[in-house]
Amino acid sequence: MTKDHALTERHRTAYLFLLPSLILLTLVAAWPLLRTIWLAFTDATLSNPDINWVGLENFKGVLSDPDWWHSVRNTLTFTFISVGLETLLGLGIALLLHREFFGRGILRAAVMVPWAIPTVVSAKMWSWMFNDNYGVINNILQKLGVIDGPLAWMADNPALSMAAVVIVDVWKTTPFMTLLILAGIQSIPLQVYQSAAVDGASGFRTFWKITLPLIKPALVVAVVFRCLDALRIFDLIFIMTNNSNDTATMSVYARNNMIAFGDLGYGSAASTLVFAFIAIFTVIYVQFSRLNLVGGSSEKVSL
Amino acid sequence: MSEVVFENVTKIYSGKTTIIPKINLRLPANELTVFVGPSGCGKSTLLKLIAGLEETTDGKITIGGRDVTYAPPAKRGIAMVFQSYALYPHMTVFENMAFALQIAKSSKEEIRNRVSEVARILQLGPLLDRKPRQLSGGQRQRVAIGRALVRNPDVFLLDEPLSNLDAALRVDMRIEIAKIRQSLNATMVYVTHDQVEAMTLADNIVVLRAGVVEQMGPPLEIYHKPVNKFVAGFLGSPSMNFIEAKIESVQGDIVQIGGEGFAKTLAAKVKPGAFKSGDRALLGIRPEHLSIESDGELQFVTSLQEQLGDHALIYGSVGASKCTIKTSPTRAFKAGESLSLKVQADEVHVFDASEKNVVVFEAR
Ligand SMILES: Nc1ncnc2c1ncn2[C@@H]1O[C@H](COP(=O)(O)OP(=O)(O)OP(=O)(O)O)[C@@H](O)[C@H]1O
Ligand SMILES: [Mg+2]
Repeated sequence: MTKDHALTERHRTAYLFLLPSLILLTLVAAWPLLRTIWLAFTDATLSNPDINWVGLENFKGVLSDPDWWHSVRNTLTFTFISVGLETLLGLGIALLLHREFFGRGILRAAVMVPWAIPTVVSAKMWSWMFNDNYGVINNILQKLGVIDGPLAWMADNPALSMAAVVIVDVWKTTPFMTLLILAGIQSIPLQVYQSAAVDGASGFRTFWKITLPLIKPALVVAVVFRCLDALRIFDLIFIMTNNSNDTATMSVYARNNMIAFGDLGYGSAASTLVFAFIAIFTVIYVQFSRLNLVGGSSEKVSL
Repeated sequence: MSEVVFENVTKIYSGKTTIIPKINLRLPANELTVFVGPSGCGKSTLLKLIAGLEETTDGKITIGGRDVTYAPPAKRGIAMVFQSYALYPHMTVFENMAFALQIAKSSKEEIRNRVSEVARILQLGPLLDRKPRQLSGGQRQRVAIGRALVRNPDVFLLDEPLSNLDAALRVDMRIEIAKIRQSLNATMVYVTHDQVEAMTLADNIVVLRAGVVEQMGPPLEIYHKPVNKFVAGFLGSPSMNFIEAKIESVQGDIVQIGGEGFAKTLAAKVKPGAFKSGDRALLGIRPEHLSIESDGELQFVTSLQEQLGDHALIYGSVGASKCTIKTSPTRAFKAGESLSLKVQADEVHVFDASEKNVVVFEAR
């Protein structure tokens, strides 16, 4: 057998093994995606089976709709604030959990609980806690004297609703951040810290000069993951704010047009824009942090 | 003048595991002391106690007369080289070496001068801009040593610094450390498993067993005058032979040793009252102090021979005890051959029932 022949043989086997997952991906990811993009160029509705090609009409419609731009703003605000808070909190908690203390194992497990609860359940649970009349949160705030009367968290004030949603998202997703960052912290060998101690580095300096640079790859990955998730946020907002227009995000906007108004083509155009948005974000972020990602990971191998 | 002194130091890990029961130890200033001992006997723990990386459970540690028992590592005037190098992976060689100086708020120029001086000594000049992952094992170890040297420590701690290197590189680095040691005005503490490193580098060797000092002294003293069977067996390669024997007669402080495998008795001067006639004893004799000669004291039965070029090792037994001989290259022996061995009289050790060496060393 020649060398080339052996290679093609091996490639063929490799493709054979890849085939099932490729087929599966085509069915569950590529096909719905392509179909959505195609629908975005048509006047399809949920009730009308007649489908006509309308070109860029739907996109023009979406991009000139103030509600769309409002939802973009909402999405970005939500992403920026919630991911920011989750990163900071996650970092703090991870640093705490990295220390040795009595009951650390139990605490590590306990911290994961919010992440394990299905979003719908936690959204409902928090909705009740935020209820203006019977909610425990208003009750506590009033008893503490922070507020005079009950706050209508989920009603008229969009800023307040957004705050509530962010609080719940932070509660729910910080564990995820914590876990990813903790994994990064734990990959730093003890001796590196001992060297720093001998070199006279204070706790603060050790954090900035040793810990942070060494967990940067893990941190970047965690932030990208969370941003991708947050940019397509749907369930939490949809459930908690009763599908209010004031707090609608891009995904909520797309869903409403598609399902509530039955405008499949228009909704698909919005969905396609969400997809494009996230794709562009990913490409920029990966490009931006490529050097660090690569540099960071190979550094760890060679410790 | 930074003598390191342990006064009644105890180390108990997590409130239950006693690693160092109670140690008193004086490491002379500006000398190199080597810690040796079996794995897990507490060598690294002692280094970490000096460095302040582990808390002293009880007792007192002083460096140069200053009580540092509760001082943070940076305030002890020490530098440490770890077995795993422990370089900062995200910093260049220069930054690794400069880190401590930056923290100490040295000026930029001072830092540059100091780092390049040390880099010159260790031939690290061309590597200053590289990251640790772009270095070979030997280069990394040199950087680790350089990082410690830059700080100009009073006490220089090295925990098995060469154990990750291959044999040839180890020899090079050992010579390099010996050179550094001559030019450096610091107290050095060096942990190793390597006999040759211990013998060649040390001013003093401390032999440890389970957190207890078995013996401390210059290498040749430890080699020639081990205080007990443990020390005698620990240093030297191949290690000392221990031959089951019996005290045939006692005359003053001279005993006659005999037993199974003895062609005739062997006289040794021991501490008065160590033995009475008929006691069991252990004869200790190093492989290099036995020679194949007719009319010797021991009757040796061969089992295996190793030719190593410049010398040969012959394994076998004397009576029921295993025995090894180290000789100049000889003819090949068949297994089961019986040889007469002569014992070098002034290198005989005799251990009593408690494994103490009771021989009286005369002007060795
Ligand atoms: N942080 C710790 N907690 C509990 N026990 C420990 C800790 N560190 C070390 N030990 C124990 O203390 C003992 C001595 O450890 P140490 O590292 O000092 O041994 P060593 O003499 O350096 O051994 P080696 O030659 O294998 O490096 C070992 O039994 C080890 O298991
Ligand atoms: Mg050790």
